[in-house]
Amino acid sequence: MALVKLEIDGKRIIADPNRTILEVARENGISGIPTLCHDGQLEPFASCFLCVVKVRGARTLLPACATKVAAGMVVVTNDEEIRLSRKAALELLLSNHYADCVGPCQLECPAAVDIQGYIALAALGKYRDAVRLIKEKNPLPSVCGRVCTRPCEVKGCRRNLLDEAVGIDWIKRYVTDLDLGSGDAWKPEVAPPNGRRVAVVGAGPAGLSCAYYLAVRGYEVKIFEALPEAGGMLRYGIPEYRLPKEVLDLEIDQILSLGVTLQTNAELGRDFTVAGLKREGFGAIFLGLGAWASSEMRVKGENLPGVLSGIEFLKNFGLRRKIDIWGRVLVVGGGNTAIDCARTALRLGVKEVRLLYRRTRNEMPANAAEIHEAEQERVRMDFLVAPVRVIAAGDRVTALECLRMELGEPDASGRRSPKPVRGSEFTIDCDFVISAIGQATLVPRLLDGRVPDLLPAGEVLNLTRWQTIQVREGTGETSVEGVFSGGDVVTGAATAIEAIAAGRKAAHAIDSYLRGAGVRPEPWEFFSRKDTFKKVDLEDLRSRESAPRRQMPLLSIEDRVKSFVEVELGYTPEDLEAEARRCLECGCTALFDCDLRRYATEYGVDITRFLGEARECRIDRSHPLIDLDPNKCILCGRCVRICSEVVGEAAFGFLQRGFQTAVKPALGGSLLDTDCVTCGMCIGTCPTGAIAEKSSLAKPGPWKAERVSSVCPYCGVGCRLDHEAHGDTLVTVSRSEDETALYGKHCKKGRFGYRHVSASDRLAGARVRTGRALQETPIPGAIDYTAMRLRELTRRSTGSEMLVLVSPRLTNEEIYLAQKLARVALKTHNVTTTAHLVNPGLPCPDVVSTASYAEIADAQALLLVHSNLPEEHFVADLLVKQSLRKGGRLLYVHPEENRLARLAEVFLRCRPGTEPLVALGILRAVLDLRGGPVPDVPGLGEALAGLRGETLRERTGVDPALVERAAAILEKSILKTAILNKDYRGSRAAGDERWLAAAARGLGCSLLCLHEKANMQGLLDMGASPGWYPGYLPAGDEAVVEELEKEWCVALRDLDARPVDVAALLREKKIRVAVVLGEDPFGNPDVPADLIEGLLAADLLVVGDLFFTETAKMAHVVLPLSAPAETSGTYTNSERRVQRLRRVVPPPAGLETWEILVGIGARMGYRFKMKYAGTGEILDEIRRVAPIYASVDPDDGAGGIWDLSGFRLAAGELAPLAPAAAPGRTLPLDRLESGFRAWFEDLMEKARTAPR
Amino acid sequence: MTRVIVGLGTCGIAAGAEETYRSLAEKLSSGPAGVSLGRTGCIGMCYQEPLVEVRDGDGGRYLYGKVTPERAERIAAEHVGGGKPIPDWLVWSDSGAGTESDFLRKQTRIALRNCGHIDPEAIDDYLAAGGYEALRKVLEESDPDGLITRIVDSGLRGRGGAGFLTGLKWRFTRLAQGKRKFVICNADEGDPGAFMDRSVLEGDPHSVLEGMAIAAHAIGADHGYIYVRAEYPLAIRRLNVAIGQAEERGFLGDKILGTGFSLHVKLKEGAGAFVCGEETALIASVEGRRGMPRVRPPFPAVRGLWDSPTNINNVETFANVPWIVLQGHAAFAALGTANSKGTKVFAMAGKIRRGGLVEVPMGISIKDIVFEVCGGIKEGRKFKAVQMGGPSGGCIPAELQDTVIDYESINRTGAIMGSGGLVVMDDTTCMVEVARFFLDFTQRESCGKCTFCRIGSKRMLEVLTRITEGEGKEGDIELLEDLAVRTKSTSLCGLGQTAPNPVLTTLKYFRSEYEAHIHNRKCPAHRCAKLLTYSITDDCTGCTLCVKACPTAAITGEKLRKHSIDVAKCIACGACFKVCRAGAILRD
Repeated sequence: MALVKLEIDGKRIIADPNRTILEVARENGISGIPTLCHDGQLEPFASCFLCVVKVRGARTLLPACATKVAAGMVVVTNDEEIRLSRKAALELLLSNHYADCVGPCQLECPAAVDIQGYIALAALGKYRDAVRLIKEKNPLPSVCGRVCTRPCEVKGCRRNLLDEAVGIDWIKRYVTDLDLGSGDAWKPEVAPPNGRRVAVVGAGPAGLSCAYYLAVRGYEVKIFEALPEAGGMLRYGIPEYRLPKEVLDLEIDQILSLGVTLQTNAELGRDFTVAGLKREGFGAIFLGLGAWASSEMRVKGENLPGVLSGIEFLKNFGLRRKIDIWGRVLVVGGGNTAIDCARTALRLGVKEVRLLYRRTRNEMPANAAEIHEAEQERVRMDFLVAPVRVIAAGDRVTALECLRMELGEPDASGRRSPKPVRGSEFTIDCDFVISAIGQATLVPRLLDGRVPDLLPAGEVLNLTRWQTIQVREGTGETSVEGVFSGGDVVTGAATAIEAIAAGRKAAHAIDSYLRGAGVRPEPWEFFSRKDTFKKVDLEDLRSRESAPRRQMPLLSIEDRVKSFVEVELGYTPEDLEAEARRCLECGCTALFDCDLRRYATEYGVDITRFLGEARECRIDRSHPLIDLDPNKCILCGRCVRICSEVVGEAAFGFLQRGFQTAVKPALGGSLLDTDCVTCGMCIGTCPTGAIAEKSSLAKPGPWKAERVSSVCPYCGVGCRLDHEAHGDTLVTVSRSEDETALYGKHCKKGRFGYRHVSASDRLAGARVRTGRALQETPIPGAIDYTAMRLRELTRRSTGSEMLVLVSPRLTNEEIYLAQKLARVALKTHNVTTTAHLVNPGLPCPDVVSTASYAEIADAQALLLVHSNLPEEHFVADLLVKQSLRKGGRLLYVHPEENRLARLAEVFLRCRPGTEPLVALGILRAVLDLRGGPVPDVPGLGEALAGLRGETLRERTGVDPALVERAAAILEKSILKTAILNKDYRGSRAAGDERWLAAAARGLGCSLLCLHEKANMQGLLDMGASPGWYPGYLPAGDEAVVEELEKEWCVALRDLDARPVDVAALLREKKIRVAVVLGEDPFGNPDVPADLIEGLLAADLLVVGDLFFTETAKMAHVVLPLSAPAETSGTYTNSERRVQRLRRVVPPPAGLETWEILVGIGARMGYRFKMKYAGTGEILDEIRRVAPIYASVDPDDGAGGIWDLSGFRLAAGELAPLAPAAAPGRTLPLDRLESGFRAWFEDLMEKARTAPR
Repeated sequence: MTRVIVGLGTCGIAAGAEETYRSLAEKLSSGPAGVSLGRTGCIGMCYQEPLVEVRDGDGGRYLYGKVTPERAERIAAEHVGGGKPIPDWLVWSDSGAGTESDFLRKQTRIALRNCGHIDPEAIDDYLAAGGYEALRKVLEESDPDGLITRIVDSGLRGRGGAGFLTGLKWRFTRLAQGKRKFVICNADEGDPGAFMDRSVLEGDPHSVLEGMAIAAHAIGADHGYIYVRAEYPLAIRRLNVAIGQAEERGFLGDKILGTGFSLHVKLKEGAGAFVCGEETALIASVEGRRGMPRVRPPFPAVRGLWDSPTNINNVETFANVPWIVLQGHAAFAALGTANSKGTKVFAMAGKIRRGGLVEVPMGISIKDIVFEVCGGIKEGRKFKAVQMGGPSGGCIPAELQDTVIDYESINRTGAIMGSGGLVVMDDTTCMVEVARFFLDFTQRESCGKCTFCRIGSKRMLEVLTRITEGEGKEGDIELLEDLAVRTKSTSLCGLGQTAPNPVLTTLKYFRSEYEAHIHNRKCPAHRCAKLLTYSITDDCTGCTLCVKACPTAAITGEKLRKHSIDVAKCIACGACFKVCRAGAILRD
């Protein structure tokens, strides 16, 4: 169709009129159109209406995802009207979204720390990652782990409804203490210095936090502190027994170590001024001055000796000044400072401490835990008592006159205010009175005009009516240009965590200010919360079990009151584990990749605008791998559609109508009761967290994961998959972001079969046999030992006594190195894989794919032989279905009627093993139709002779009429492909493939040969065969040998290149050295005993594997290999496409397989012949050595298919057709695949039988 | 020979016409010879059902209304037996007598030409009325393009609501590429209160089949579906009978009338989803999928049923087709206005004196329909508005009663022609409640696909509900307008695009009623129970009736003295208001 010209956002574009506005915009770099219901793999649907755009001349906004481009179209993708419409759509969707993005703990935390995230990391034992996550928001976690008022627990944690809050703070303390104590504490990455300077006045929590986040951004930060040491209230207001000074010091040192300078004993107004700092070149100034003034009791005699200010008392103690205090002490006040004063006085050895509070215990602002601890330490508490007069004898306090109080009606703040009871005066004898009823800032004194030149000329620092500094919410910006503030000096006496949050927010604002972007607050993020719709109550947690909170181990009371040793002793690892398990995981696992939330943030939605009825649905966890939370569903229908349009099943459907419409498993039951094939495609397409994978990890995260594109390790289809890793942990595997129809697909193995990577039984170390036992050995030692033994044995033996077995799941690079090691160091051509050892006739290396997947999807006719695609190559099956939807016609030759047979236009049901005859019969019929001659292929003429009519029926059991129909279809089609499974498990003979290939050629079909193992094609390509070098270069060809000798710098001409039967060598027990990489012949019932015995008879058996396999158990040396997700390299898939694998996580043993092979080679004396800086260099060498790989570029998305024109293998001879009577031995399942199957089937079985 | 015919449409049966029929059958079997008893469909005078027509041997026609079995006996005896019509019960006669003769006199009946006259289960009746002559003519001409041109020239527009030129739709389908083509009759009449299609299917099913056959011939289809809602059992039965008869007589099936043209028509029963009246949802439903609209284009004319070109017309449209073929497109085009030709059937409901089915020429004014044809407002109350086009339509206020019936004029008011539902409202109707009522219907019937339709209409409904319950807030009107406009412009199908119409039109014409609800907590029409307060005036006679009626014992007072209502106890149920004979209860 002719292309059309149009304009999108002023950009002139030429496009295919069959494409939609959305597609065309994206292809042309206009990426701002949001959509929730669109998926590139699916037909346009248009339901969310987020993608609306303006088209000139159209009456309404149009959905870009469903509107085709047309000539002359003028499209606007973003303006105010469009934004408002998108925002309204989001607000409507979210008005019916009964779900939490994050737990209430995070929302209650003033610093918004990702609590659920760090608890999950702590549960996994990833303490460092947990610290990193915490420090994104809070640079003083160890301090907070001790002194925080814990709004996350007190107000946030939903466990309060069930039993008790999770010990969030204690978990935080545990991980950060461990990190700080490790001697190698986690440090943030610091941006390069940007040359700008910021002054921070006050080294309290606000100032320290501000300094930290500025330093991380590359600022030169200087902190000025009035007192002798940094820490502010943390040091001088909080007693040692709650916060040991060394903990504080460690954490402050962490901040200073980022390059922050600290000047102590420098007081604003005395030693320097704001104006002076500005003159000195500080671009911005942060005032974190705190609230150091005590509020007065306003009673007579308040200034008498013996009446102390609480905050002064604590500060003097912190300054290590001598404090004379004795006898009976009265503390007035109910806050944390009052409690701290009482407990400090107790530790200073006074006789008795009584605390007077004018309300009751319920109204006390101090932490409940601390009140409890104080009581335990025998601080007496008198409630509903207020002081009225200090009574003195001479100039000393002797008693305090008090009044009884009673509680009146609740005031505006909801607290019941106390009222005096008339005539209730009484006195309490005492020696000291400590007043701790409140704090104020010292700012008014600073601003009273006595300090000259405090502020730059003409500037005024505005205060609030509470005499605190007035700032702008969210930025800390004051009325003075370039001056910011936060912490107690802004809020009045408040909490450390609030100060920390304020410091961080100010740092962000200062950063944007100094970068010239204006003063900006931290970006706002949207969070959906259930409580918006309905307060969560106990009923909502009915499925959760009660579990008591692990209490913090405490110092005994006797030990406590004697000293200032820290009272809370810290969690044990068991406490941590148990407590982490108690977290209810209220937040959504899709937090970081939810499109709905992303857009809600982008469009600044106001959830209150359309609030109304919201559906509340039961979360369906009945499927063992897929959780369904219909509350989060936005009815985009992508799951319904991907299941029907791509997978060809109908596991999901829409139910009901109107507002009650829901997407549920078909028929409204469990996914287990539908035709769900557990491919997991629905998870990948769901734009929210409504369909989520049940996490494979101890806790479901949420994980802010890095996506790494790699290749599936299972079958030869070679799906590209995104691997998601959080730090060193493989979190999950998901479909490739590449949304084109060919890719972005996977089966259950690819989607859920990644768990082997972090399996607990992975080999993490090497073992060497000493005597009868295998001993754990450091890997370098094992490599040395292997090399030494190999060197020794190569001297004593000939090349024909060597054997290297490689797995078709190794990468091209690994296989290449293995065969190079064999040929260069072991002087042998005996390199193969177990399957070919067992059945040498099978590989038929000359039969290779000539078709690509794109050809299947576009084919007009498909001839499918030797294959049960849905079972064997699920994604290839999806491609076939894609072709059928477009009108492609399927001809299926198979002995059994299966699902595919029902889709076929012509199903040619034949007797087992006669498939090649049927294919030839079709060729015969086509030739009859054409009247053309038989292709000149030796043997073909005889095979085709008379293969029609009743003869054909007799020999194959197929109705000749069907064969004629199939022939007619093929003859009419231009684009046609034959597909066969090279590893077909049904009845087949060794030469079948060649016959099928010959038939396909004769029929004019391109050929797709599917492999069951990820890199079987690569294994053959890489020369893992005695007959040829990499690139199918004949082993005996002198020119080849000469070239290779130059490349490899070794003599190869003395290698015995005569054809050899490796299996026979084994049977005759002639193999002295066997190196087995990734194969487990002993654990495989299909491998004949005589071959096993041959291996056992070797003098040296070296086994490399991911697991301690049966073969490994018999080895002399066991080496831990890296899994495909742990190494870089390439795989060659069934269409001969060379695709890039990337290292996602490190191998447990530390070394990648190629490094181990290089190590062995080097230690054997081939250091320079096997020297590679990385797998890229190995691939470069492969390109030089194997001509068919010369121009391969694995990073070329469309290309990467190796060059067939350089393929030098002659077509194999057509052996006489002899249908196999019984199923042939093909590739057995290996540990990876059988492990997956067993695990999967067990899971499903358990789920099916579990009560629902 | 005298013929007695009983109206046995659903409306007649509901009013007891079957008893009437039985009673007549009994009487007539023992009465004079030469009298036959027959049945017919609805003639439209639903408010007078059961209807019985007596056709005298000399051709005189007499239509009796509200014919109970007792009245039937008298009619059988006095009129049929004695030759003396009973003028008191006569609603219409061809001589011009009858109390309701205006009702029929002012109508022009094309789609309904046979309804109420022929026996719908007797193909011979239809043939006698000229049935299948149009099909015969078309097949003899065998000139589909010429036929389509004539349909285009007739100006016939789709009677389902959207008003697209029928001939043009046929032409698109004819021109579309496809191995197979389909013709579908949309009989999924879903608007509450609308029953035009049902009456045609029950009263004259063959005219629809004939129209379909003509369309199929025009576009080149050989298969047709009638998508009819399962709630119309009588229509389904009669359609099945008609299809059977037509096949038997060679008007349907293979090689129709001996030509090469074949058409097989199947019934597909809809399961009551309103949205399945939308053509793409209807197609999905016929294919066995969930009735959910899809993006257009491609339109069904290009890609419809089973991805083949498909022509979908509604029942009334098809019923017009044979008439146009036989009488000529010019005759049809002569009726109506510049852009709206022919006639339109309306189902009249609400506070109207003569509620029923009327077919009027395009161009007639709303006022004429209400007052001339339908006799004005019940109980002589004040005409306030008409709601046109069902739940997708809008309210046209009495001030605009001179608006003429044509597609463009109606659209200008904010309402739509729709399929023909016309609800008449008087001054006791609360317009906020009207909007709420219709929106409640559409939001329930949303297929749930589009965000604004699914949630936006739900939110609008919530706002309307709270307004009628006295909980309206500042800004609610603006919120409603915002949502209504967005829902209209960002929905895939007609349901969502038109669902806000009742809200928008009532806001446009009756905004003050909304404001009274929100600002003054008053319902000017005294309908919204939660906004009403009751008090007792000095007219109270102290009869204590109200005391007995009050369910919460809120009314107290001595006998024969003025009573009073305790506002705290009153639940505003209105029971006292209903029972008071002195008119002493003040409702405000």
